[in-house]
Amino acid sequence: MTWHPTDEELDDYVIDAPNLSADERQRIERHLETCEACSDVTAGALDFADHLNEKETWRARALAGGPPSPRRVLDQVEQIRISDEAADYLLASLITSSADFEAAQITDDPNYHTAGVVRKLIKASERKRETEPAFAIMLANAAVVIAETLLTPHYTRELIHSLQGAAWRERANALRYIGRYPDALAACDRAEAAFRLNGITDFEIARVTFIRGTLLMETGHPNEALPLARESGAIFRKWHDDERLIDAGLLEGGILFEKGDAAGALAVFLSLVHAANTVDDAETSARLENNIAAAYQAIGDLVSAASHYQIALAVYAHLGMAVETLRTSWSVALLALKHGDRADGMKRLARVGEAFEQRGMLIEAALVAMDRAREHVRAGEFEPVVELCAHLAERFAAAGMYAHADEALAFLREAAAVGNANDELVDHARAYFRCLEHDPAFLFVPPAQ
Amino acid sequence: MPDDHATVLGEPFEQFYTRTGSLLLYLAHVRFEIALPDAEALVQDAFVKWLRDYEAIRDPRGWLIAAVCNASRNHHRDHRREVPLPLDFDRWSDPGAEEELNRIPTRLAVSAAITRLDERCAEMLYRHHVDHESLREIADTFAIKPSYAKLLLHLCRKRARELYLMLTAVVIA
Repeated sequence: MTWHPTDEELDDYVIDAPNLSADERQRIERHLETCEACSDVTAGALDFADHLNEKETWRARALAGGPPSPRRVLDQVEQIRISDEAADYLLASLITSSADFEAAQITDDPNYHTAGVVRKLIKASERKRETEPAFAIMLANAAVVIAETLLTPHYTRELIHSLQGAAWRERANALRYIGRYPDALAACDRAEAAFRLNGITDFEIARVTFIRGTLLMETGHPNEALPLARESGAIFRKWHDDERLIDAGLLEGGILFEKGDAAGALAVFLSLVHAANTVDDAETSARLENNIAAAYQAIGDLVSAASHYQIALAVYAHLGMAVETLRTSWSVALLALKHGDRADGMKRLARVGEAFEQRGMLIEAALVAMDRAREHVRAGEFEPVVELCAHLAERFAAAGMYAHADEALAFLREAAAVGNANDELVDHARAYFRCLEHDPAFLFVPPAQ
Repeated sequence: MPDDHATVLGEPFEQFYTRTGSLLLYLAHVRFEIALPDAEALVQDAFVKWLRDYEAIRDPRGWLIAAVCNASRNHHRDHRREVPLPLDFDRWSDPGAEEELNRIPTRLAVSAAITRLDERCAEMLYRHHVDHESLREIADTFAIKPSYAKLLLHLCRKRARELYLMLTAVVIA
């Protein structure tokens, strides 16, 4: 019959192995190598003894009853639910039309002065930011005004301050969308001040810090934006918020890229891949792949760049995100040019430009046309530049949205017609079209001679 | 507030509350050494804050851990004369501490097992495992012989482990 150590022998081995004789210890160890059952028991006993050795295990005895009843939590959840449902009812017909919303003057009506209405207005503003930014600001402003009217003791100070902070933060976000950057920065200050009254909730403050970083980046202050992107990213990481961590990382990498540190940007983007896989959000992954590709391209690793662009392209196409697919195709075309494959790159650019035109995205179409024009002038081909400018001028005239775009195109066309167009002129025109993205009425001024 | 708040990522809310609440209480009470009633209040506040901003929070467990660590730090700041902040106070909300956090449920189960032991058994184990008293010292305290103390310690550990295995047994329906 096979020998097995007794419970006591195993216990002695686990607890007091150094005091066993060498013979006893070796006998048990030889047995454990071959007996899976005794080996499992010993491993379990060792782990159990580790816990017994920890003072924390003994201090945790007070928790044997588990957490207190969730009643208080559930009661508060119910209060929130009722307040939100009432807000849904009050606001349902108002948050679909800015005219109806303005006419209702809800900030003057005490029935609307509830936490639920503030929450609902913030959510509504978030949804309108992209499509109706002016309405989003109206909604966020109302949220701010109402949040500032909430009173104790009906609401706790902590809730009031957190709603005020959230409302000001949403106002900052909404203002950012229409380019009112100084006002957006001021709203960030108000949001942070409100959150700080509520004790230091660094997660909420990090969300404000991230917006502030984005604003500073967009207004041309990358040096000030960079520490904010890093600071918010570190806090999102601490709060296990991978999606926001990726947003902060993309901002940080974007800033480094803008500053010309493509290798630094690449390192940041690559550090986000694990988080992106955890989030399992295809769009985020595609955006990240796109940025990784651009960084590889900038450091001259064109093979890696092509491979990451292809991944981004496949995901965007799979998601049916036509515009992002086009933007990535544009990058692939530029990559082909950089790689020396001029025929392929130009063919791709032509296709992308045409697709932008068909979607009515004239600025993007013009920027693609400028990329083509640059290639043509470098090759001494001026006639295609004249044709490109003439074609675009027709399209801009038909759209009737950009008062001075024709002047930029006429300037370039005339220079090309007499063989005077060069990289500098094309870049000047290109920079002008970039400005039109933010200001359709931007004046065209020819470059100084 | 979504109607489906009764479940958290597919887990019934009350089950999630009990499971996660125990971990959070452990952090606040055991790690941050906050008195139990205050620790319970911190944990419940964290749950309320989470439920208030339900949609914006992607990882409820991770968020709640960070919230409780944050609140515990603030509690220490507000009561700094009473107890010092633990030296490693900042690491529990770090994702790198995940493996250690995963050991907490086991520690809670071991702890629950030793609360079921008789007092003498628990005291002997504490003296031996935490205070590192020798068999002779334990024998002197309990007026028994060292060999008998050794036997009792073995039996107490064995009983504690049985209780632990009983508490953690998976019931197969």
